[in-house]
Amino acid sequence: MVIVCCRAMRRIAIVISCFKFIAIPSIIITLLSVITFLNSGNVFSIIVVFWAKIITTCLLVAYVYAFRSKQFFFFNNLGYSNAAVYRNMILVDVGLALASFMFVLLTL
Amino acid sequence: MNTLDFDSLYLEFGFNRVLSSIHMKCTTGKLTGLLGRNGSGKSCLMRIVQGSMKAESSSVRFNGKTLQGNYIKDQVIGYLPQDNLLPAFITFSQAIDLYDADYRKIERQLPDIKNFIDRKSSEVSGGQRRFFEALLLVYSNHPFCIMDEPFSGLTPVNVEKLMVILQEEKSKKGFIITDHLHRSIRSISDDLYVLAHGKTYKITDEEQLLELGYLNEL
Repeated sequence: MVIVCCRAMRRIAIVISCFKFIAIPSIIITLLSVITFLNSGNVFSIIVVFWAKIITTCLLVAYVYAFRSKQFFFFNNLGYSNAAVYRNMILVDVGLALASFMFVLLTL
Repeated sequence: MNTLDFDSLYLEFGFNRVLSSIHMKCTTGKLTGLLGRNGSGKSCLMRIVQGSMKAESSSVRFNGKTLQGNYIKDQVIGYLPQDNLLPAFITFSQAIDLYDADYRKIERQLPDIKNFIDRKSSEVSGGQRRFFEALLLVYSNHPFCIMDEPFSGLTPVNVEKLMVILQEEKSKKGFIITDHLHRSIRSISDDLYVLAHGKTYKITDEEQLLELGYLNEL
């Protein structure tokens, strides 16, 4: 049980570390998206804002691919392929965005 | 004892054939050196073997069993790239935890680590970081380590220290090392190869280094 917990904790730490490649711009963009959505006051504007968020995520991933992918060797040694690093990055980013939008929708 | 061997590697960029006739073998207990001129394809070869770069064809075997598909997940081979291994946002303590490396052994070789263990890698000098990265891989759990220019950026004292560490640790894991400090590589290698014209040549006589155009004089 302890070993399983340790493995899960380690996995979570690696997933979060993958996200750190884009963490600061991604969180800023998510916050801006949520603020834009709140200011619009229109529930349907969430579609536009969400797609804007997806497009900016793609741009961030393209930036990492072009300029930061040499740092993926650190994760390769941990058993994570380049594809897995991108997957983790996007997973956390989209997850955070979805959670933010859900929170706003539920509190409106 | 573990064995890593690879052959049938074929890589070309456009019409430029970079690797064509490769055969190398590395075993636990042996340090395998790889020399080659700039642009000869050493880094490409290492990345293909590690699994992060695709070649037109390749055959990498661990203990006789062919590694197929995404074998990075098996964590058979640890790779120290020519550039930084640690991303700028990772602290040294995080790196040790994630790699499950032996902190006591690292501290014994790098006593200064106490002063920067909680700092991010980007906040420490390049030489200290490079030495730490090499130690991190040496003391991690990969059965094989491929090190691309591990001595670059290190002071002569640390180069000698790392050479001793590699000699000590080779009984536990296999090492493939390339560097332009050819005297260091030649002095610690049990098997030595030169990569030239896209092919690997096993060196049995140092005169071969002259014949292959790697050195002008011994």
